[in-house]
Amino acid sequence: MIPWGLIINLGAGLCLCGVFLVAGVVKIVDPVSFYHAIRDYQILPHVMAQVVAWWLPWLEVSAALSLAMPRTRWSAAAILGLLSLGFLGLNLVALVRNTGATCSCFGPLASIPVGVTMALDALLCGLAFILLRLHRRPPTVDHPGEP
Amino acid sequence: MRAWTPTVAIVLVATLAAAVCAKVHPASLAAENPPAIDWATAAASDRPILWVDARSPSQYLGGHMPGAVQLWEQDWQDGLGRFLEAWQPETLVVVYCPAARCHAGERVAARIHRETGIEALVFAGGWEALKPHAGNGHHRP
Repeated sequence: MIPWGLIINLGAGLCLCGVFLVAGVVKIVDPVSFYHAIRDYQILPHVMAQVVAWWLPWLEVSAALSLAMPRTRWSAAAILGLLSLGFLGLNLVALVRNTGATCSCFGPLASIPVGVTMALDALLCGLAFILLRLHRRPPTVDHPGEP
Repeated sequence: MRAWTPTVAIVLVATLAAAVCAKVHPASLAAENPPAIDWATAAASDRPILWVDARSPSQYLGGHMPGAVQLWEQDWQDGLGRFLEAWQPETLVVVYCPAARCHAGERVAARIHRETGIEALVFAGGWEALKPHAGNGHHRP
């Protein structure tokens, strides 16, 4: 009997973790390029773009690493899913407004056209959704065993 | 309540790491937002202006400010050489890109400052706003 659940779980987790870990680290190393990539989208002003340029890569890395821990896996998948959904929306706006922005998802490693990025974002969203379905949400009460 | 604890922890860790990184990282994002200048201010300046055209070669050939140095990001080294040849200490460096909403002007002005220490301003409005002034003799305010 092939343990499909385990294979899908492991595959989705590894893909999501790998993509966001690489994406986060290259942006941490070169925040200037990421800052300008954010500004290319013409949505955020200078100060907000600075905050996002410092903070977002670390959120990607910490959420990607948290996928490895059972206690934080559901939350990490939820965060990464929301991030992917957000990126999908941003790229859609960029496409509609024709800003000429290209995804700097992987910093200087690759410049990806918006259309391809949207497909990648949709795929990552799907992977995060699979993980959310496979893993139980943490308990919502402090003492679930007590009456 | 407990359901949100891991989420909050992940966000908190990221926030703390980002705050530390912003303090210790050699790159400074604050300098990446060069000041802007409009036509009226440029015209009122008593310093000669060195226009820097941050657009592509085909756009540059299609029309540019007289005397403008082309400094395109994809051909940076050659463009920077031309810029440094044209630059004089008394000149006011003003970068323009195709339109008001383009960001290439900011990137080029910030990079000039980062790599040469020369302060460069960004022309608010881009080439779209400059075009009417390019051929009327008022290009060197």
